[in-house]
Amino acid sequence: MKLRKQAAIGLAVVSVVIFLLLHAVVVSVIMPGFKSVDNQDITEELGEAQYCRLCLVG
Amino acid sequence: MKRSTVDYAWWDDTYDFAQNHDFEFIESNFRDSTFQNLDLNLVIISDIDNNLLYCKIRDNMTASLQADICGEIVSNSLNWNLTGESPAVSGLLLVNGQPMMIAATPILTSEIAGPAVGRLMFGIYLDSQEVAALKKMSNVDFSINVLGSLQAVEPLLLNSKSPLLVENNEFNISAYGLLNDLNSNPAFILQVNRPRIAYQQGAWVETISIAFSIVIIAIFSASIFFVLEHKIIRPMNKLAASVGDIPFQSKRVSKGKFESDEIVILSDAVSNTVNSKMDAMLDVSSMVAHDLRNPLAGIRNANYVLKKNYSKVLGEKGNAMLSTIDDCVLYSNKIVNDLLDYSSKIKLDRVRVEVSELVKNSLGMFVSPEGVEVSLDILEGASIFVDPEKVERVFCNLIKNAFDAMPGGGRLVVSARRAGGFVVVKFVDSGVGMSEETLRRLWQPFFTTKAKGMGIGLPTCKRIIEAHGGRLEVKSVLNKGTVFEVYLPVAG
Repeated sequence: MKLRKQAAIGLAVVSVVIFLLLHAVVVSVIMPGFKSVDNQDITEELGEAQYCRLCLVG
Repeated sequence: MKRSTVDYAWWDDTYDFAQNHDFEFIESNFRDSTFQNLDLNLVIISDIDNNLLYCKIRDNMTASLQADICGEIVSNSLNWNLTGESPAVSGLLLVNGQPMMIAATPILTSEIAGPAVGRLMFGIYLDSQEVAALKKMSNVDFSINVLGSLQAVEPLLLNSKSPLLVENNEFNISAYGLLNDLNSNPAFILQVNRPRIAYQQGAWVETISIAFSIVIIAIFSASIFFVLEHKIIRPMNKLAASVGDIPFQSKRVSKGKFESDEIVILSDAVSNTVNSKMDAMLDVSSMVAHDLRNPLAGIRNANYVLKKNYSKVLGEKGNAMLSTIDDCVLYSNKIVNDLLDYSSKIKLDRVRVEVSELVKNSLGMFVSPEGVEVSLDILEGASIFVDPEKVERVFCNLIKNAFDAMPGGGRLVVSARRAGGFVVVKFVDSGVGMSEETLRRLWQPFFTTKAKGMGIGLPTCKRIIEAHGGRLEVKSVLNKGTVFEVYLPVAG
């Protein structure tokens, strides 16, 4: 096999692995942080709606 | 609504009604317009003993149902904490299948003096219109659902007892919480909806990071390819293409040609291997040629004796065969001499000589073939310090090659001029020319395009000229012609 072809295949494999690793890091580390911010915000808003802003609980 | 309830409940007229039950108060103060102005759906007045004094529900329901509902509300209100610090309680109740916001206040005088003589309750249905107004006022996107209407989330919510979060899609999230009614029973589910702002930002970060990683990977890959291409592949391809040009003398190939040390080492290794094999082959050739010389001389002498003494006996046919033997011996002798010339060390007997003289002597050894025109353009007075016999051999070889390259006729121009410290003798023919492949292998020993030839004529010429400190160059175009340039140092 020619060196160029071998290099191309090797680089493609390495690139895909690096890409998947980066993606996994983003999905498993960064995104949960953002999700938890939304979850915390809406939980607070639910509580506020019940007891303060709408006073639905007497 | 709470404020309206307090306004009506802490009013002397209401206080009197709770005591005297004078319904003129009701007719004057709780007309339909009052309900409309205050946007009320329910008004209940009860006395201190919890007897229903007045009840009206603005809804399409029968009077008996209305009475039942009012009675139930009044009886439940006993459990409401109306004696605390707060002047009124408010909360939700399920009325006729719909959530209703209810506010209840003890009835006092205008001076807020007691004792309390009853309770006043106002209620408003939380219909879509009311919810829309509350949404606008509170800036919260919510909905109130009656327990039993959200089967998808209810079991989870009732089990967890804590707010339930549901990611509807990548843009919205909902939180569900249980709401107790005024009787402290779970009766409603409050749903709050919110855009997933942080998640969207995260998704944007994710997109950016992916794009960034793709760019980085692309740059990394391109860099690797660039380095690989320029530092390894191209030099190796150059080396592969140049293997044929590697000199047969062991000399180091310049770094500039192959760019990296490893490639130069490889080139040297190839060159040394080829040279050692070539040296061995030349040694064998030299030995064989040397050993063949004597038998060939013997054959030639015997042939001479046969010709001299027995030519009359052998007749015409026999003499022709003797001549053939003689020709073959001569040709074999030439091969042997060529091999010895190429394989042996060149020794020069240098003398000062005119270039024009050498060229003319060389041309004088040939009879121009038919159709070939020979012209001279020689610089007179240019002398060189060379071995004339060997240089003439070179010139003869080049002239013969030129004639061989013009089988159908043509023109040979031999010129000589000075260029720097050299005299350049140029042989220009209009012959068949040479292909790129032939040019590439021209100086390779034993390479020939001729049917009869060893392929060591030109390599020997090159060795002779280089032994004089000059160089031999060639340019050729297929079907156009060939130019040989012999550079010889000017005599000092």
